[in-house]
Amino acid sequence: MPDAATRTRAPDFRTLFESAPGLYLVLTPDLTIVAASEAYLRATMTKREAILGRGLFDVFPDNPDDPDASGSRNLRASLGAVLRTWMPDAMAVQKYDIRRPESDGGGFEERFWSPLNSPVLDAAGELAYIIHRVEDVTEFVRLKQLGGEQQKLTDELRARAERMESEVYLRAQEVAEVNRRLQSANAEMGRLYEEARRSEERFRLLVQEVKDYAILMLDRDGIVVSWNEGAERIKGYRSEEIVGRHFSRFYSEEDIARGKPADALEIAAEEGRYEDDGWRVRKDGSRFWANVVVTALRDEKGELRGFGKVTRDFTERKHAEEALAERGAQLEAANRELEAFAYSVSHDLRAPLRSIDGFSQVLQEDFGGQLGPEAEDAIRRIRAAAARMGQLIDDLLNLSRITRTQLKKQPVDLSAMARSVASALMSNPSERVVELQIEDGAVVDGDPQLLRIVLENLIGNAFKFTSTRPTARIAFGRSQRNGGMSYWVRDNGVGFDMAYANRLFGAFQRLHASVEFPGTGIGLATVQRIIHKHGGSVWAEGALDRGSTFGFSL
Amino acid sequence: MASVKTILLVEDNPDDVALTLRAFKKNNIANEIDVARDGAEALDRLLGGASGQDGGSRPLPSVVLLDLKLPKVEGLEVLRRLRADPRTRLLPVVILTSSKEEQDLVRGYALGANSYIRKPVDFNQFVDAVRQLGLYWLVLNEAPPS
Repeated sequence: MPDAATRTRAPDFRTLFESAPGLYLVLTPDLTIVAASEAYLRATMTKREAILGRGLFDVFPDNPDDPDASGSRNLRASLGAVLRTWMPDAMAVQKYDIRRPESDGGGFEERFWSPLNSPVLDAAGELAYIIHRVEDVTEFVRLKQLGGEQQKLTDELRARAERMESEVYLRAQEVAEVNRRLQSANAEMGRLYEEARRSEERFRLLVQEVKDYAILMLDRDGIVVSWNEGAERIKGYRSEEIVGRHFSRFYSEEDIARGKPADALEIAAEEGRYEDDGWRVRKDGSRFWANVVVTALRDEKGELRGFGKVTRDFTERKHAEEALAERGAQLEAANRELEAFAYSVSHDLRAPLRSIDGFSQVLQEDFGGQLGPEAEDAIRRIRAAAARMGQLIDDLLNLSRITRTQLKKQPVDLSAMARSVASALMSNPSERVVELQIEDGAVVDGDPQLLRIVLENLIGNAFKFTSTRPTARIAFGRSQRNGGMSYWVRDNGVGFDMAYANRLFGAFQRLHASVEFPGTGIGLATVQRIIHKHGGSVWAEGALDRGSTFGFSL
Repeated sequence: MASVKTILLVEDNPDDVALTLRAFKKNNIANEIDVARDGAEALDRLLGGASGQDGGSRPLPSVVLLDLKLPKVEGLEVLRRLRADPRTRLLPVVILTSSKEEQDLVRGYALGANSYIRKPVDFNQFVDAVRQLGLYWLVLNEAPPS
């Protein structure tokens, strides 16, 4: 016998297990028997060495003489559940027939057991064993059966009554369920119906209360069947005055005589839709300019049911259009006048200048000897003024021509154009040193003739205002500015004071004396007009004596 | 026909007439220069007027210098009538005017003008233009057969 200390330290689990008062069997997950308690062996009339290491159902097969034997099947199902779920599974009371050893006469002995199968997880959390614990309730069942024999009849009756009762209950349940479903179907139907009704109501109200459009329905013959507020407002009839009447009363007598109402319905019926702008007649006989759309309404079968008619009162718009047309005509007249004016200027204003210049020269040539140096100087000034006036007239005419001509847009390579303009300016014989830098690839959509005038002015200015520099630097390029692409000409010339920047683009505005830099002050005004005509804008940046940049976007 | 080549100047502005004549003189163009003061007079001179007086009997000029803005019958109308008449259909007509309005240029050429010259304000340039004009139409150009 081990001493107390040994017992405390390492109890003999095997002995403890095998001697436990309950009926225990330990199975591996493949249902091999690996341990059994003495009590179990006793109850099942087996020997430990005869069952260990064998399969459970090898050892305890169903009784082949009992056709109702279901013990094995139930046990298998329960064990299966434990293997699947790793959860204990209690089985109902089972009848197992235990094989009697041959020594006791063989055969099977009837037993009633209440089994519980519990999983045993190892340290790693894996299912290691199933403990099959059984309570032998055979005696209890037998006692109950003995007592039960006498009550069998009453029990059976009661059972039948109970069965019927439960049957009735079940049927009642079914009926209740069917009723419930019917009710919910009814509620759903009601809800859908209500929804449809509301949606129709909403739509009707919407149509009814629209005030800006006359919305009405006509039957197939053109009789008004519905009428909204807009219709009342636009046409002047109240619903009760017009529903049931033919819609042709909205037309003038001439239109009715020409069959216009009938045509409208015919076209709508044929093409699905008819639209017209024209004068219509209100209830009070006044006319309004209407935009009318008639739509054929057909049912699912394609049968014509009537027409929807939407009418808008565009009288004001019509008046506005007429006013606009009138204004356009006035503008055109003004333009023609301007053209006539420019034409006359072109012819008449220059003729006196020719006389002034010509006869000044006559004086000079014919009487040069008799005039003193002061008179010679006066003549020179007269001729210079005439020349300048001639230039002004030409520039002004160009400016007005830009206003009068139509834009002819096409892709324009500004880079190539700038190069050509600059090389024309460079070819003028001069001693000047000009460094030119032109960025490639600036292609825009615009009028090439007008854009050439722009570049001629900007690059011409750059040449002009760098004339006092030992080396003129002139660049053409492009860059992003205010969210758009800008094209610019930059120079290192005399620049300008930004305080006067807003005056640069006005006609006849000059920031330099004519003696210093010649010019009429129309160039930048022309540039601005051309750019505005393209829908773009112009800008200028500079500082006195530090060069300037003139740019535009299109 | 060895007749002297003449010029018909159609010009209403006496200053321009004087300056033009002076320019011819300065260029030593000594040909006879006939002056018509308005469009009607020009047509009279070339086609013979309604009066029939001496119209058409005189030989045609070598070239007509035609202003556009003229009293009575304007320049382009004069040109149209000259081109409509078989006698003057091929007559060289040079438009000599102040304007270079596109519409004038287009209509002038469309009606059969042989040249279009804009009178410069600068008298020296004008003299030069007249010199080239005279050289071309009176010397270089072969007139159409009459």
